[in-house]
Amino acid sequence: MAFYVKLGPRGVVFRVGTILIGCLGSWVYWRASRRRGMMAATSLRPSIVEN
Amino acid sequence: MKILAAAIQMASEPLNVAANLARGDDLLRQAHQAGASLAVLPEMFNTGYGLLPDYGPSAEGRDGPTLRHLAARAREWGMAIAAGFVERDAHHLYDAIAFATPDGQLHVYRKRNLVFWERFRFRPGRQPLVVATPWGRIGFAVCADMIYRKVWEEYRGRIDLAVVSSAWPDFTDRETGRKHWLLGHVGPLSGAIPGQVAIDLGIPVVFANQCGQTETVIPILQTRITDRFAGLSSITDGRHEAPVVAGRDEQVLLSDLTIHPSQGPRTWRSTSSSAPAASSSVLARS
Repeated sequence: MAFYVKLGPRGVVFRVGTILIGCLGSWVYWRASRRRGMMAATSLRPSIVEN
Repeated sequence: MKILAAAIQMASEPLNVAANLARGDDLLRQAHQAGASLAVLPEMFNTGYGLLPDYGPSAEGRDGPTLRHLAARAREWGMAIAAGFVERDAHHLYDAIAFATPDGQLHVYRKRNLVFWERFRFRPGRQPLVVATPWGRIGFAVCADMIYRKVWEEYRGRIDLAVVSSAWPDFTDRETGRKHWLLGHVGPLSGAIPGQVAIDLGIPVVFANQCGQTETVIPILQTRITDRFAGLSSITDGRHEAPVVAGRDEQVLLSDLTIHPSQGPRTWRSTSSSAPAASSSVLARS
């Protein structure tokens, strides 16, 4: 995606870095969000009380 | 139409939502007492901004304490309020702006262009947001959204005022004063881009940034900068007046703005047919 302001040669590094971080970050985020989803599902499950 | 706008430059304490809400409320009250019709708080003003272990416990939905408080203040004080917060929607977290209006509407824009560590903690938003108000149409952006041309091209001709909520760092070591080799020149852009957008799109821009100390972490590069936020919040009229710019410290920046509504009131939430049906920019009426 093009920048609104000129970043010069550093813009290339910024762009490549953002793509790499985006790939790694989205994997880390996906794991965390899945964990949140599982925790929410567990907390909603009715607890069984045995007498 | 002329309104008084406030860009609130604030230093937030990481994950201390109660303290940040109280401080934000003090600053909002100052804006209200000065007669502001629109107040803008920085990105993630309630949680603080930084690579924190988990934003989950501080994230909130539409019924959370931050949004309820902002909506109540907007109604009580007759002042539209835009403020950055961490939104929770099911098990997803978003770096978002809430926009509460005096008539009880609450809109949320989710940041689309996540940078550095943000992609590790948040899901990117999908759509721009334009809200019709009695003054004209307002478009929203969060921090790094500003540096992408697509963001402003999507808003061009469709908005009469831009609101930008930010936590933009200096990318300079606050102790040595040394600029980071890659990002040192990006810090000053926070002071330049709002004015450039105002002139380019011919609209006023209200830009509210965080201030105070922070630590910038860039994954993969293994970079950790003992940084500070850039401050330099600004209000730019776009056509009439020179920009009003804050310094580096906490401040309620006030300025008159002249808004020229060009195409009548209309709320617009998508620019592309590929935008998902489940809108990232949700409108709720309380």
